[in-house]
Amino acid sequence: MAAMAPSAPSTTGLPVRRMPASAILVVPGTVFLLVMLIGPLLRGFGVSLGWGETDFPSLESYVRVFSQEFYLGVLWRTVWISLLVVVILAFVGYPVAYRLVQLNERARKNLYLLLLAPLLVSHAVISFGWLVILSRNGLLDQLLMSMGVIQSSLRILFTETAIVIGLVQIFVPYMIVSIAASLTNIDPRVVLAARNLGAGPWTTFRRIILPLSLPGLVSGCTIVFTLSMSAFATPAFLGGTSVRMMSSLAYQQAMLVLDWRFAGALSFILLATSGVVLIVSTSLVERSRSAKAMQ
Amino acid sequence: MTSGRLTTAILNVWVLLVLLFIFAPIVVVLGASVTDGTVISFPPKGFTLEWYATAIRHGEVFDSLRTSFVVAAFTSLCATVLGVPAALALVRYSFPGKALVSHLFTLPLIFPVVMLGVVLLQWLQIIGLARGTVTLVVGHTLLTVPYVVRLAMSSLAGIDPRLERAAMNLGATPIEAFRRVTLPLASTGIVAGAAIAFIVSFDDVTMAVFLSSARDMTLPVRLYSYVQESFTPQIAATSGIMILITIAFIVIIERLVGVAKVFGR
Repeated sequence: MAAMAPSAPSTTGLPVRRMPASAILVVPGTVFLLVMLIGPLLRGFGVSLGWGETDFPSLESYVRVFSQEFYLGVLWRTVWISLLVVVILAFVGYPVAYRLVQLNERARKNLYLLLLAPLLVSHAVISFGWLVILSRNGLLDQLLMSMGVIQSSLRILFTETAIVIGLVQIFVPYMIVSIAASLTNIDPRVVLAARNLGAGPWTTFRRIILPLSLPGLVSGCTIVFTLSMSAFATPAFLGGTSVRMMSSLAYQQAMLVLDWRFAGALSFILLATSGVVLIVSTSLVERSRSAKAMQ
Repeated sequence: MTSGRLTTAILNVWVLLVLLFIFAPIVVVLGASVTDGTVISFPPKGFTLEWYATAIRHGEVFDSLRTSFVVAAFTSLCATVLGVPAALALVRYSFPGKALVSHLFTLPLIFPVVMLGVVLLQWLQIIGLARGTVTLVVGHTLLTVPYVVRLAMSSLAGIDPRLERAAMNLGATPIEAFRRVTLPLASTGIVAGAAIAFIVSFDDVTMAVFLSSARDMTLPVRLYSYVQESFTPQIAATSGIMILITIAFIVIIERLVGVAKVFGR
């Protein structure tokens, strides 16, 4: 029998067996991922730098994105819409997360189900639903007109507003679940201590609960930002061809213009932007945590 | 963290409004799909399932439905075959390069799907694979393996390896022990992973627009091409079919491991 040397963290609490032969179990999956993920990514990166076209690596495609007003506009629009979605969801989602952690176990499980199940519905279907609601003289227009709020169509469809609405609706659960995770970890005795010392409910929230829930809030914001930046279906359905975001621009360049090199550059810039935000937000959380520890 | 009665009431209303908002498009699509009239309307005028019948009988829709099913089924199979053994190794054993492999299996999730579509399509063309069912299965397997691995790992981690060893002590071969002891115990996580792989593949739009062909077009892509021309109750019914299939899978997954588990809760 192989020696029972605990050499890696065990998930069952029992010694993990050292068995190099077991590596064979991961081989099919690893080979698949190396061939179908790493390979294409590396090649795509090379192509974006001009491999196959130029003699030396060239940043021309990347520079084009930042120097031409149209492309820069698309990048900025994507970032702007994503930021807007994040801010809206932070406010919309927090109260729900707050209530969620207050519920008893059964109600909480039910609410989780109601919040998470819609995530399994195709974005194509959801975007179609919004098309019906937001179209000219569609559901929303009719509702507001019958209430006398507006006289003629709001013409929301194929604008940035429509995209924001669609993205906010799709990503709500991610924000809520993230914040809830942080809220659950707050030691109730800390809250009790604050109340015992005379703090009112609002003060307790502002100075104890909110700061302690910040990691979950930041994590939720990061997740939603990344998802919004990469979103394809919703902006494509609700923005049409006039309001493009990075993902549908990359699609257009790849499939319609057949400029694979530029499409690759756009993709990597998209990835880099999300990556930068992730790193910045993670380090912010780390720094605030160590700053608190030093107080 | 209890709140006063007024705060709780306000919070409850807020939660209700958010839920309404989340379900709005789904409800509207389902409602519009059963209207008796010829134009999209919500609330629907009358009630009829005629549009669903028309949609299914429509050649293109039927073909796309079948393509989506075939692709999803094979994706589910591939993702499970590739992911479950890997999950077993990651949970139970240690081997050189384990951390790297573990990261590799979650890597597909961090890339924008558009990006994966762009690089993968080029790659597959170089290999000589034309767009179609096979490429769709490859792309979707890439997207879903991380989910399968995660769910399988979480399921397998809860199983005491000593049970397998006890079986072997009683005379079973390692494979028999795995098949008759561990596998049944881990079955909920494995089946849930397969179900998730199926529905993620079925729903996918982004990867599919890159990898579909005129002949092998998944339903979401078909839907996309339709809405660019018009909205009709038939399109609503097509979407309704997708919603109904999704609901079926939600029920299955909830029964198995709970939808929350899929998203890490």
